Amino acid sequence: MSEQKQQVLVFSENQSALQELLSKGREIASNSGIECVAIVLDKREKEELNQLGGWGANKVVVVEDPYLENFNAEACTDAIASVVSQLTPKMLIIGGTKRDMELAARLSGRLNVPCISHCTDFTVDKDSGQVEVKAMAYSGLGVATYHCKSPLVLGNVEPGTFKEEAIEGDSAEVIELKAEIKAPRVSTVQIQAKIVQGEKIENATTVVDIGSGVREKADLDMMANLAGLLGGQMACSRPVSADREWFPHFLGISSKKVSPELCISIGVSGAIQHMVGIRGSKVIVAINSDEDAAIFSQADYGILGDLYEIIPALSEAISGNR
Amino acid sequence: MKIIACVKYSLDVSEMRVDPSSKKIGLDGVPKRLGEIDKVVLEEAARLKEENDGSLFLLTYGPDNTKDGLKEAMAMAVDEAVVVVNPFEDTLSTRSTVEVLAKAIEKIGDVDVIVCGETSDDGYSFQVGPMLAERLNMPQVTYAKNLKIDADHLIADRDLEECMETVKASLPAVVTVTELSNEPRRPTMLDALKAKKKKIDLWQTEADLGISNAQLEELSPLRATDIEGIEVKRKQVLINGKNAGEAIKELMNYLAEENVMGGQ
Repeated sequence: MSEQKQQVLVFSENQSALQELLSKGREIASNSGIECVAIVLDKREKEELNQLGGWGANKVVVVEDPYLENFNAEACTDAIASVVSQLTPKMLIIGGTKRDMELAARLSGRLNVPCISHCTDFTVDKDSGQVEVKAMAYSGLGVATYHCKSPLVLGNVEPGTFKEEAIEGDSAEVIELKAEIKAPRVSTVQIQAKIVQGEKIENATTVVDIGSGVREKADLDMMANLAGLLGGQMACSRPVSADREWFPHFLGISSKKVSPELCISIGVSGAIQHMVGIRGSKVIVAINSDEDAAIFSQADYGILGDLYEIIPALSEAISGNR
Repeated sequence: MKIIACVKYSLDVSEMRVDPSSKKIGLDGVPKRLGEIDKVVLEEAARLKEENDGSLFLLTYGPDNTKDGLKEAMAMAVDEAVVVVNPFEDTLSTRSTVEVLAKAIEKIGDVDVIVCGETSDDGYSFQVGPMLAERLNMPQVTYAKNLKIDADHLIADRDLEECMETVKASLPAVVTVTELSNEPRRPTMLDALKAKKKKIDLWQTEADLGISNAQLEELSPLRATDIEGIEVKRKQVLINGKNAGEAIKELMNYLAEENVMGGQ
């Protein structure tokens, strides 16, 4: 890699997020005559690394080290900072999982460049080469525009922001780089997987979105019945996930985002942090007993009333329609 | 054991509105308050203090009226507080904030654990904690709950998307918590009365920490050139004052028109 060509470097600990970023990276690279390079810090088969070419990587840089296990933030910072120093990157785009976010922030400190969180678009000006970045502002209430002057643009991107596109047959060149990685001061004691059932919520065509207005865990049966009738899935807002642990995931700014045909939000207040997770829905229906709930101004159809009367009536109407 | 809780006097984002014609986000009159997540920060720090017979410092960087917004916080087991006054009207950048916090932490001295929110209520950058850890050359334990001290180590559960990761970190360390990490205590009247006697120091960036305004600006080369509010384009049809059966009938008609019922 001795040539002068600049790179857009892409990293995420999550495969699907990485694919998305690579597809965006390919677009940036081909528009501005630079290379799209994936950074891989976990152990993978050679073939799997080559295949990242299909998602958009011209090259794949691999750093292997036992300290990188479980994507230790200190070790990953050492590794990526070393990759940056060995190449000539113009941009470094990190994913938006929790591990990605803590890494991007630590890297910002290490590399002494600003980091833009929640980026939604990158464009490189053909003449000046200057990078314009759009990013979420005020928890998703707005979009901020940045014109970057620093030689290295660093940002993170939430999963689901870009479309992943595979081009069959494209293979990436794999390059192994050495990096000095210090012994991290945080070590993993144990990992307990969260149990996730059913299909990925991101793929659901109908989402039944449960908020704190739903009182008992037993009420979930009623919601599950509704979701089942509609061929959809259940999800929840942050307070429900947090205080009650009914669901391991929630919809919202720092978590999952969905864009189904229909989202039925039940007992959801409508805080912006949650709306960011569902605002891609084609139609939003809100059911709430509080007429001042912010959700009503952000929904297509709202029913003001008691969910314990409305939901059974809705389920009955749907099954009656069959 | 000395614990520092970093909190932020934040804009109440739920009070912000987007003007539909100008697409500007109205910030005038939006109240500032101690963020929701900052109460979780204080609770986690308070538990650590109480379990380990330690002392708890509250540290914040913000406008000089921040002091007025700390009443509830001071009643949450805080021993002393330091407000570093922002010489600018607004937060310039996360890196300038980190520099100020780092210098203040060094001045407080001998810290064992620094607790921050994973993000602030209004900024939502998710950057300050890890960046502070890097700046202070400390390990970081992010998205943490169930903090325990075991001899000279910190043990915590990290709440990640697919798993709970239990980690062990050497001290001193920077910890970040999520809004879900704990249920913050509600201070009693007695706590509130005692809090009135607690010391809140006001520090100036230049005079007390030796950071010039020019330095803070230098750390903030990247500013948004424009912020545009996202317009919510929803039909906002409200079905009100009907019994459940009638309301559902009306809704079903709308949904049939929209053709979003998966062939129902």
